[in-house]
Formats: sequence, C-alpha cells, structure tokens
Amino acid sequence: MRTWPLILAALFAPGTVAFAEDGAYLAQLAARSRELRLAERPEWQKLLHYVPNLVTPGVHSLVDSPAFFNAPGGKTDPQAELEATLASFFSALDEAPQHQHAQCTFIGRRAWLDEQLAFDRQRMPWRDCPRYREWHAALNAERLTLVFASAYLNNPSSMYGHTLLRVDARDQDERTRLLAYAINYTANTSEQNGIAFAINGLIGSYPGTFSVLPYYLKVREYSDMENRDLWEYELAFTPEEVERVLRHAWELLPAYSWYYFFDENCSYHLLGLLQVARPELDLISPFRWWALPSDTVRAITRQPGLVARAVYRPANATIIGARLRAMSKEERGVTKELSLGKASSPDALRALAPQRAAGVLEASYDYVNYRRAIGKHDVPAPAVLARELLVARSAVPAPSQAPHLTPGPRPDEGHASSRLALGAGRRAGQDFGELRLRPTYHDVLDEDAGYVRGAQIEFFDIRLRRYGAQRPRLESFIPVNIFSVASRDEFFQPRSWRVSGGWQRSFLRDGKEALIPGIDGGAGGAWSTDNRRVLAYAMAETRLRVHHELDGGHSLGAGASVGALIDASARWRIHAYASGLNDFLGETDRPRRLGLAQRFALTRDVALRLDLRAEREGARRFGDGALSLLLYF
Amino acid sequence: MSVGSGEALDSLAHLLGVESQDRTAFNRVAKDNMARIFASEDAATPEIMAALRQVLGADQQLARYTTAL
Repeated sequence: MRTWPLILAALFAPGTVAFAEDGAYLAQLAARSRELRLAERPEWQKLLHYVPNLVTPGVHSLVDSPAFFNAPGGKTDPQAELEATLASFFSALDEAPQHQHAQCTFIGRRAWLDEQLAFDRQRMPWRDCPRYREWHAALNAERLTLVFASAYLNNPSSMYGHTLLRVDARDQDERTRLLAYAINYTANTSEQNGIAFAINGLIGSYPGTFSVLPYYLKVREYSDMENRDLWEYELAFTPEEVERVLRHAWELLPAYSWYYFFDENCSYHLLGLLQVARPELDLISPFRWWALPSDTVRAITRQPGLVARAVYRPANATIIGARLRAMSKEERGVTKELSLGKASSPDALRALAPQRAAGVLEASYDYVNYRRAIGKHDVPAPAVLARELLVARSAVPAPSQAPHLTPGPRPDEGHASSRLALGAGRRAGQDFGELRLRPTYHDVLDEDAGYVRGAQIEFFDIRLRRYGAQRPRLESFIPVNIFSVASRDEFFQPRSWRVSGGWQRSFLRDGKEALIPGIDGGAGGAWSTDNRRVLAYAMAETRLRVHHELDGGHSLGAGASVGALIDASARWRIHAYASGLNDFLGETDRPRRLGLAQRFALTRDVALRLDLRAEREGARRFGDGALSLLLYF
Repeated sequence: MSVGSGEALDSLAHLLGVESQDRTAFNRVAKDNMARIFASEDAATPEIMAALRQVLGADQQLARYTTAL
C-alpha cells in the first residue's frame, strides 16, 4: 500500500509529463531550424567556431574540447550540433555545484536560437543562470577595449605582440581602468624554456584557453615587468553587442583549442570571440595562416566605426626614459645615486627646487622598480629603498612630475607585415634578378613607425634568384631570423642579440655555390647617440654549418660583428656593418663581410632598398650588390 | 599616493567610494600620511587598511569613508 503513492508520483511527476511534451516541441523546433537553415547562418558558424575544411568540403570547429559540443559529431556537423543543443536545453538536470544547465553553459547559443525560434517558455522551461548572472554582474560591463601589448623579443610566446580584451565597467572611467577585468587567451603551459615553447607552439601541443583576470595584473606584467607599451583600442559596440560577446566568452571559458603559435594564437581566438558581436562582422577569415597581433589590430581598425578611440599606456621604462631626458646631467646623477641607495635624499636634493626634487625622486622610485622587475639585484633591500623614496617624495610639496608622452604612430599605422621584394643585382661578376618574399614581419631597416625600434623578427624569408639565362634557383631560405638591438646607457643595459637559422648559398673551396644549412647566433651591446639617429652595436658571433661537401661535413666558427643603423632622414636609413668569422672546426675558412644596406621609404608600404657588400668566402673575394623595390602588403 | 595623484590613487579612491568633491582632500591626506599608511616596506594589506582607516578617521571631511574599509 505504501508504495502506491511513489509509483503514482513517478508516473505523473511534472518532469515526466513535461518530457513527453518536450519531445514534440523539440521536434518542431528542430524542423523549424532546418527550414530556416539556421545551422548555415554566420551567427551559428561563429558561435561554434566553424571554419571551412582545407581540402574536403564541409567545416570543422577550431574548438577542441569535446564538452563544447552536444552532438557526438558536433565538431564537424553544424546541423547535428544545433539540434543536439536544442535537445540539451530541455534537460531536466538542475544546476548543481559541479554542473551548469546546458541553457547556461551555452548561454550565447540559447540567446541567438531564442531570437530565431522564439522559444515557448511554457514548453521549454526557461532556466535561470545564477552563475552567469553573478559573473555578469561582477563585470558590470559597459564597453570592450582591445588591448595590444607591443613586441617583446625576450618572450617567444608574445614575441610579436599580444592582444587581450578589457571589459570596462560602468562605474569606471579612464582614471580607474586598472580595476577592470581582462579576457585573455593563452597557451596553458608552465613551460619556461623559450625554445621548447616555440617548438611545441608550432605543432600545437598546448591547450589554449580563455581566462578572466584583473587588468592591473596584465598591466604589471607587460608594462612594468616586460617594459612593453600598451595600446588600448576602445570598441564602439552597442550594449547588445557587448552582451553577445560576454555571453560567448562565458561559453568559451571552460573550452580549449590546441594553441598554434602562428595561426591559432591569442589574437586569432580573440577575433573569433569579438566577431560574434555582429552577424556581419567577419574578422578571422583573412587570418587562416598567419595571425600577427598587430595585423589583427589592423583588422579591427579597418572596420568602419568600430574603434571609438585609442589610448596609449607607456611602459615603465618608456616613462623613465622620458623623465631622464627632461633632466640635467646633475639631476640624472642624483637619480642614479638615490636609486642605488648611495645617497640619502635630503642631502642629495638640497640644491634642487621642489619640482625638480620631486621629479628626481619619482624617477628614482620608478628606476628601483624597473630593476626589481627585470630581476637585477644590485641593492640589498629594494623594497625598503622604494618605500623610503616614496615617503621622501610625499614630503615634497609639488604636483606629480609624470611626463606627458606624445604617443608615436599606433601599431595599426605601421607598414604592412608581409613584404615582397623585386630586385636586380650582381654577385661575383654574375648578373641576377631576384624575388624575395618575407611573410612576416619587420627588420631593422624597415620603418619603425608602429613597431618596436631595433626589434627584427623575420619568419620564412625566401629568396629566389635567376642568373642570366639559367634556371631560377633558391638563393636562401631562412625560417627564423631574430635580431634585437637595444641601446645601453647609464640607466638601461639591455643585451643585444641575434639568432637565425636556414639555408643559404655559399661558395665552397672548389668554386661551387651550395645551399648550406646553418645556424648563427650573436650577443653583445648597442649604444645610441642622444638624438637617437645613430644606433651602433658590437657582438660576438658564432656559426655552425652542416653540409656533406664541407670538410668533415661541417664547419664551426666564432668571430665578431660591428654595425651601425643611421637615420639619414625620416625616410632614409642606412645599415653599415662588418663581420668576420674564424671557422676553426670542420671546414676551415675565414669569411669576412663588409656591407652597406640602405632603405628609402617612398610611401608607408613602398620602399627602395640598396644592398652593397664586399665578401670573402671559400678563399675567394667578390662583390654583391642589388637594388630592390619593396612592397609591404 | 606619494605624489598626491595618479591612476593608482584614483583607483583606491574609487574603491572607497570617495565622491568627487572630496577627491582633492583625499589625495592631500593620502600624500601627507603616506609614511603612516605604508608603515613598512612589507606591510600586509590588513595593516595598510587599518592605517588608512586611522588616517581617514582622523580627518573630519573624510571620516565617513572608513566604512568602506
């Protein structure tokens, strides 16, 4: 007798009854979705991150976590995924600490499908999404801002820049932006070794995930620790567009995609998130092969009216540099002494007017922090010193002496990042025509506007030459070529270095020119004149080459190089250089090189380049010269 | 704080809910009492907040903002 009510309850529980009705309604919704061909619509394609397959017809999603899909074949079947998503919305499973309802997990899909299918709340119980609501309320979003951190050669994961999305809260303004949250996409790894990271990043062995974190942490990381200038592009989205992005961000937070350094990187996935804002916004399709952060910023600025304004946030080192330039030599000396704890502030500042003293104290404090951030431990207790300087500063009756920096050209205003060169020249008495393609991104001779001065990053540079009537041949193929020239002075002592690897034609002893694989590396220092028009460097160099026609199959050498980058005018830059190696292991040789390269910019994306070189290689001397037209695209 | 202006100080004022007419006073008081608020180089957040509460509490105009601490 006692069991009857239970059985009755089980049979007629609201859940069971509702489920029977759900089945019919679900079938109706699925039929309607097919009728409207919703799965083919750009909104659905973007929400699921479908991209066309390379060879076969059809699509696949770039998201790799299985939980992102409701249908077993959802990764490649938009319609099946849409219907399975609709079915999941009917789930009777309630929210639990370890489990969200599918309507909340996929809150962006629900919103869009509701717009299209006008869900009947009576027949599909509408789920409250408390966790999303809390998160949404905490963000209190009013606007979105795309933040670009400029290139930083010493960190391979964001060597050519990084982008993240800042969520600007309603009650914040330009002065309190540090309190905002940021949505960031990164490779999830604790790998500290840059080379291991680069290799794994190339083959996609790290899961990339979105995360939300306080913006001030990112500012500290980029601006204070890595000394990278930030550019903040405020996006002119309507409130509903902001909502779309947030709902989709919520869907992406638990998901992952395999991280690929060149294409599926932070900038690419950030665009994938942003483009859900508007149905017609297609940001990612130009970036199927390369997604350079600066190019993705360019894509945003190219959309008419999408960027409301751009704000420049100089790095700590940039600010210190500007402070120092505004000082007299004596003041700079005092700044250095104070920041090294070698002088006490009252004595050192006695001769200075309050404003000047304030400037010196502020710069000293910034400089102590800079050295702490780069891990230079040359003061016993930097925290104590930093506090002393702050306390001393607080006692000086003067307003802030923070410099007003006029921002230079924005990253989206620089030359385009791919370059094609058409040239003609003569090498060792032979005339040639040359075609050179550098897919990415900048070299020390290119115009610096929008780029970081002295930061050369070239990938997959390829050069084809045709000598006279011979068949064209591969002259060089250099997959990686990185050159960092940063000037040293009494306050900043960065190292300059370079590394490159690839195949290059070289003369052998028998007079043959072979395509020889090798890697080069160098380390040294660079110094700049006060007006920054000349930047000279000196480096110790080493080179390893491997080829069957070399004695013993290889040659290893060490040597030195010196050079100077000279800005003759705003358009005209000269690079004069000389280098010498002593190949002492394997095939012995003493290659020498003396060169003069010049670039003259005609427009932002067109330039002329003249390369002249005198070389000694494989016991022969020869000249090499070429004039090329450079087209940036 | 040591200069009596800036992004960090504005952010702190925002978190405490300091209204615009009190900002100047807040900035001045923070600057004048910087050494007290950050009593040592390794002061922990609770100590800093306690010190800030004292400093603000001692100022007639700003005493009401101690509730946020």
